[in-house]
Amino acid sequence: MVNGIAHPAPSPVAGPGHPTQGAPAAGGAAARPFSERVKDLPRLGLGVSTEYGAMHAGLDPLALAERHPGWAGFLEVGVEVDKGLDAAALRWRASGRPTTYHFLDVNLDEPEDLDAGWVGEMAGLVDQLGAAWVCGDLGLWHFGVRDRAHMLLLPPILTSASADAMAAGIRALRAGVGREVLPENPPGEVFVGNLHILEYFARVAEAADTGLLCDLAHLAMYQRSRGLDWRAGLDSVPFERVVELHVAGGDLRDHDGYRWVEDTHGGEPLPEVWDLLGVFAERARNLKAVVFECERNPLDAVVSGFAKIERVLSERGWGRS
Amino acid sequence: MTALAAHELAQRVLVRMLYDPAFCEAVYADPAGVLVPLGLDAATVAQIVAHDRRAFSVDPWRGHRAVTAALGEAAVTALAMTRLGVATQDHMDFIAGPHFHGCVMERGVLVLAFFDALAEGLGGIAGRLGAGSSRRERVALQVARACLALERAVAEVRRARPTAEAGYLVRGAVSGVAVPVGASAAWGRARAALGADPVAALVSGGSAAKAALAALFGAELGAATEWVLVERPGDTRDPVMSLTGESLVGLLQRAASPVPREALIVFTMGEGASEVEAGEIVDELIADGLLVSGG
Repeated sequence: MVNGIAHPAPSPVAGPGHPTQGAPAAGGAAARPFSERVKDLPRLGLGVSTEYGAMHAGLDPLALAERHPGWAGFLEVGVEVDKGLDAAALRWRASGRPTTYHFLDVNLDEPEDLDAGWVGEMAGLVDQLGAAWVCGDLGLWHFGVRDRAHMLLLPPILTSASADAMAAGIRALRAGVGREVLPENPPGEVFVGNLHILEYFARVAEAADTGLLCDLAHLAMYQRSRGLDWRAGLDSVPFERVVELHVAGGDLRDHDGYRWVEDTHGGEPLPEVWDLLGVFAERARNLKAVVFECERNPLDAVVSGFAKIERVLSERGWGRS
Repeated sequence: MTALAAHELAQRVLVRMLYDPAFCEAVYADPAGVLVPLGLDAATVAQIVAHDRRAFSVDPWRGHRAVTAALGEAAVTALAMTRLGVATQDHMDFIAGPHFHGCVMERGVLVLAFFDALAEGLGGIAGRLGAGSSRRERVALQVARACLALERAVAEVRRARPTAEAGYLVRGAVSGVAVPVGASAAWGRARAALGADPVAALVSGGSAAKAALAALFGAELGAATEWVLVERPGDTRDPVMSLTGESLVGLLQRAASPVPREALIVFTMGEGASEVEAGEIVDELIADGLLVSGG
C-alpha cells in the first residue's frame, strides 16, 4: 500500500427459517381484500407475551405451556430489531410452538423509518420466529432517528391525515415482511386530534385494508383519561377486522393529585377490561388470538387472570384453541 | 427543515412538552404565544392545553433517561469536563436546550445532538477561559476536545448505514479522527476504568471515576497529531479503533457524503500514487468495507 492509505488491522476499543404456521405471504397477496386474507390466518387461541429479557424478571412461557397448555397457545414476541431475539424466544421457537411478532421500534407514519436495511433485518427475524403475523402499537416509538432502546411509545395524533399516513406505512411494512401487519391502539395520557381512538383505528384499517389488534387495557385507559364511558366509540369498531385482543393489568397512580392508570402489564386488569373482552369476544367473528400481557409476573400471580379470560371467552362461545 | 404535516408538527411539539418541563410550563403560560409561531393551528393548541397539565409529567424521568443514554456514549468527555467545572448532573440541562429541541423538531439523532451540545459547551468554556487560563485548564480543554472527537466518531460509526447511488462511493461504517498524540490511548484507559456502567461511575464520583481521571490525565498529550480510524468491521455492533495515516483519514473525510469514484482517485494520486495504484487502493478499500460502492 502506498502513501499511508492503508487499512490497518483493527483493534478493540478499550473498555467495555421455519415454516410459518400456515400464514399467507401477505405482501404478495395484497391484491386480495382483507376479508379474504383473514381466512388464511391461523387461529392461535389464548397466548402470552414476552420481550427481550422479560423471562428473567417474570414468566417462563415454556413453563406456562407445560402447566397450562391452553393458556400458552402461542407466544407474542416483542422485538427491537437492534436487540434481536433472546434465548427464551428462540427456545420457544425451537419447540415448534406458534408465535407472533410484536414490533417495538417503528413509527409507521414516517416513511424514512421504513428503510430497506431495517425492514430486511426485521423480515429476517419474522422468518426466524416463523411468526403468523406482525403486530404492534401505532404511535411514536422513538423521536428523531431510530436508536437503541428508545421505547418511547406516544399515541399518534388522532386525525384523518395521521391515520392515512399510518395506513401507508402498514401497507409498506406488509409488503416488506410478507406478513399481515395488525395495528394496535397504544396507551397514553395525552391524546390530541379530533377523532376518538376507535374512529382513528377504523380509518387506519380501512385505508390499509388490514386487520386490527385491539388492546382492551389501552382502550380502557383511553376512555378513563378522556372521561368517557367504557362503551364510548364502540359503534365505530369494524369488528370483522379484529383479529387479536390484548388483555393486561394496569395500576392506578396518583401524580400530584392527578389520577391516571399506568400500563404495567400487572396481573389485575381494570374492571371494564372484562366488559370490553365480553363485547369483543361476542362480536369479533374473525378473532384468532387473545394475549394476556403479563410477561414480568411470576406464574402464580397470573393464574387467576388467565382463568378469567378463558371463562369470559368460553361464555361468548370462543373456547380455547 | 422540511415542511411537516400538521400531525407531525403536533407530535413533535408534544414530545418537547413531555420531556422538558420548562417548555411545558411556557406553553401553559401562553399557549398561543408559544405554539402558534411554531405552526400549530388554534384548534390543536386548544386540544393540547385542554389536558390537565399534570398529564404531561406522569413520567418525570423521560428526560433523565434520555440524557443518561447519551452520557453513556460520551462518558470520557463528561469525565474530562469535570476538570473544567462541569458536573455530571449539569448535563441534564441538555433537555431544556436548543440542541435537544432541534433534534426533536428536525428528526435528528439524539446522541449526536448531545455531542453538539457538548462541543458548544466546550467552546463556551474556551471563550470564558481566554488567555488567562491555567495550564491545568488548557490541558483539560485539550483532553476534553480530543475525547469528544473520538466518542462522537464511535457514536456515528455505531449508527452508520451507508448507501450510495450507482457510480458513487461513500465511506462505510467508518470514520477518521485527528487528535493529539496519546489521546486515543488515554481515552481507552479512562473508558476501561469507568467500567460497564460509566454513567453510574461518573455520578458516584467514586473509585472508578477517580481511576479514570488518573488514567485520562496521567500522561501529557503530544503536540503532534495522531490519526485514528474508527470502524465497525463485518457484522459487529460496537466500533473498534486503530491508528492510521493522515491520507486514509483525508480520503474518508472526502467520502463522508457520496462522491464520484474519480474524485477519490484524484485525491489518492495527489498523495503520490500512480493512476493504476490509486485505482487499486480504492478497490481494496471497497473490498475491506471502508468504502461502499453504489454499484
